[in-house]
Amino acid sequence: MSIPEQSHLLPYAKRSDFHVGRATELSGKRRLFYRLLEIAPGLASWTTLIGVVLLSIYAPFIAAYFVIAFALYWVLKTAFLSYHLRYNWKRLRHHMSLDWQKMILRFDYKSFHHVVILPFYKEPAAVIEASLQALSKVNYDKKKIIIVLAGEGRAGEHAREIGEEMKAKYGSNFGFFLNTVHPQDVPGEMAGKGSNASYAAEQVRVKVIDENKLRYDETIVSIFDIDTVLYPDYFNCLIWHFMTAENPLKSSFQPIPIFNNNIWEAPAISRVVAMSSTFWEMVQQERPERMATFSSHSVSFQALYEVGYWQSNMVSEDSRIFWNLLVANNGNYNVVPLSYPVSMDANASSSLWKTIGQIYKQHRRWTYGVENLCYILYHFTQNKNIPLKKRIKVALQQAEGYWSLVTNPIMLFILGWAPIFLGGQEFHQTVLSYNLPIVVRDLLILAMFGLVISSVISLTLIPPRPQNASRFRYLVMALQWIMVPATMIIFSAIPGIDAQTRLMFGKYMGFWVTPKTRSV
Amino acid sequence: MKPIVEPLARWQRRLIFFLLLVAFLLSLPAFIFYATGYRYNFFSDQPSITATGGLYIAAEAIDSKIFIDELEVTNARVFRKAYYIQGLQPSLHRVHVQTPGRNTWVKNLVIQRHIVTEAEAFNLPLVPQIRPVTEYQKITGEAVFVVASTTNASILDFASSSVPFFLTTTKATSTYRENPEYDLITDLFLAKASTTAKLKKEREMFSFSTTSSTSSEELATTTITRDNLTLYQNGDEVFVGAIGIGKQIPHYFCTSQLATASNQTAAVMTGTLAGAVEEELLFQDTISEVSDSEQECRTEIRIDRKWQTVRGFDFFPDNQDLVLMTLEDGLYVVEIDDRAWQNVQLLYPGRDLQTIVYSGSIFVKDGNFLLEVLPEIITE
Repeated sequence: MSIPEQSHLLPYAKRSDFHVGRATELSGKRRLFYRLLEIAPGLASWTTLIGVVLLSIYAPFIAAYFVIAFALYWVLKTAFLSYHLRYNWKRLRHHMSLDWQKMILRFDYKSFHHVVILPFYKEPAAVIEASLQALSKVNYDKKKIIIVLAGEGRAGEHAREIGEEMKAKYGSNFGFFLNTVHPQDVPGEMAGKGSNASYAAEQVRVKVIDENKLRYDETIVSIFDIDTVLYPDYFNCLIWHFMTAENPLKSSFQPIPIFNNNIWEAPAISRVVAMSSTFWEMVQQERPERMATFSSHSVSFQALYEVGYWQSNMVSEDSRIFWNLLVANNGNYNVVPLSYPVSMDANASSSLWKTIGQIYKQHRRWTYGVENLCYILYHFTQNKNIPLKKRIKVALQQAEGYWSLVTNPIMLFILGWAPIFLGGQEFHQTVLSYNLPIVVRDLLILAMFGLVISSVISLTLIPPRPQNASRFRYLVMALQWIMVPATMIIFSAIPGIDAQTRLMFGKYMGFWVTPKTRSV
Repeated sequence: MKPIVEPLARWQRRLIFFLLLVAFLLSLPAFIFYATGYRYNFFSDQPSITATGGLYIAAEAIDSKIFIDELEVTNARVFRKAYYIQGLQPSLHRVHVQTPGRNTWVKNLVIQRHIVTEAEAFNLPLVPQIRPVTEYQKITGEAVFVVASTTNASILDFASSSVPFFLTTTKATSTYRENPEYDLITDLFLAKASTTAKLKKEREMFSFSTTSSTSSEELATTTITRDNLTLYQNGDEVFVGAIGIGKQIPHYFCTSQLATASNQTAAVMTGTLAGAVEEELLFQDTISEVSDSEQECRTEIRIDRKWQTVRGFDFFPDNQDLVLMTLEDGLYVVEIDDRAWQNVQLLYPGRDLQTIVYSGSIFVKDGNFLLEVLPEIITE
């Protein structure tokens, strides 16, 4: 989609390379530089992993010391993150118990409107309907809510039919109900959520916001995955945070995605992976300076309009929009954690193996978010108006995040034993060789205590037990956390290295849509 | 009005971070020192940090008890068939491995700083455990010995049999059937006797022809090879030779450079190692002193024959660190590892025994009896 007029864009957002998605979209030295940035994450991860193997062969004593130090670091990191997790859990429960409607009475928010963009592809009507039903039940003036059901042209008649059906059922509940169908095969666009959402945002601007003379700075856009089911006070909570934010027009608002819509139908492995993702977001909510937007989130329409909406030429648009905004606003942009949940679907397919494949692909797409690191580093060298300290801090935090995502689980659970097998006879006869697995194992057991916290918290976040599920399932749900070491490797490290390697070799990924199903 | 629970304060997060950082910096050296074998001796008159070594003992029996210097070890890390004991002072330690109803394995082992000494204990049953292989069996499979008279007949009463057996004076074919295993094992013994006789004859011929040329010619009646070890007889002695390189050579063939210094060569090549190496190994301080390049490995180890004539030898089934020795007064199992001494345990007593290892089992011909000797205690 092309946006012909650019005067509304922030100065930095007018650059031709502002929405760069990959090196091939640039030319000359910039292309080369961007390409090197694409190579760097994969190279760093592979160098680390191969380095540990080589170190185990040629310097097993140093490798053993490193492994012990790393295991100890992991224990303390687990304690650190568990502390944040537990604190956020406390805050989440508190936020869910508050009467947000009463709390926002002191604000003059009546002129505010909420645009809810729901991009979808081929998801069944039941999934879309569940989201719209929840939206119909929110404790908020629904006449201030603009629903945009954003279908994909490449899904054929499905998008139009679903749109019409849903509008007929739910249209009268809301102030506006707009169906859009994103045209397929637009040059320069990647088929995916970003291009669809951008198209929908522009459509709603022209057809609803401008038409009704709504103010951009009083319109808040919430983009939700199609399986997102809202809790009743979401918009009240959002308004409260918007009104109390230091700079609401320079902020994105991030709820906690809890993948529990279908938690009773999902297999244990899927539940663990889904809940782990939730926990990571909960930890991040307590350290917002490290946050980027993820999945469902909210942002003022003005901020979006100033950067030309979501990027339509890359995969992880949900996080990229935050980096677009940060870079375009010269570093003066942040994420406000809501510590309020939205419910989404855990991966569940017709068979366990299909589910595992689905989780893997979804996490590969998520970890392909490493493409954002290239974008950040590239623009940090271009936009000198961002304070240097902020650039260095953000770059290091993000680089460490993508590096540790891939390397840490493999080093901890697999390569930690490498010196024992590769260390040679000289190392093998030492006390260190015999004690290495004992010390590392004991440290990892200590780290596993963090999982007890996870187990307890997870049980409080699941919806009520359906009648057809036995009480025994609670026990399984508590014990399922012992799978974490395996899930960390299979659904975090391996898809992560897969994604980084693809980027490293310029085998750019497309947008893979996670299938959503709902048992009736 | 605002939420009571505020976001986690920066100062709080920093405090936690620095506390954990301090914990990391303080505990990392402790973990590394512990892993490399340093221990703080709280109970000594002069408490201090000492560098210790470890002991790794493989023991087949599950109810083994380990004693070091007569004190039972209670803090060993137990693996499936092994024990790892750490924090041992560098010194010469006497190690016992005891199991009820079995022979005790004893060895003097040198513990060095930062090094784990490996050993493999074996504890054979005190009462020989047998399974008779008889010419005839009952229809139901029980072994039947044909004897001249069943009155006051006592057979194999010094041993424990894994299966019930019966004595009879008749071979009524309607009651008993022939045992095909008996025929097979008998044939194997006959074949072995024939091969041995042939080899003996060849040896005599060879010995005659070479006597004048060399006096150190190897005159093995037979050579048995398993993996990287070879078992052979030279004169009256039985030796185990290592034919591999590097990791293929069992650890007890090798020792560090100090143990094989020129002044100890004779001791190393001819007898036990312990006496020669103990004193010097005790004072090794750094791990780097024991490197692959500095290790000297012998090529052969003599097997203890209790000063008796060797009637036969073979590797112990499923364990190439042990040798079966058929001697004048019984069948013995001898360990190859000759640090300090070789443990020798009686598996089956008897004179003029013939032994054969077939398909992982040990068969003994004791006079007219054919038996399988079992290394494990038979449980009901």
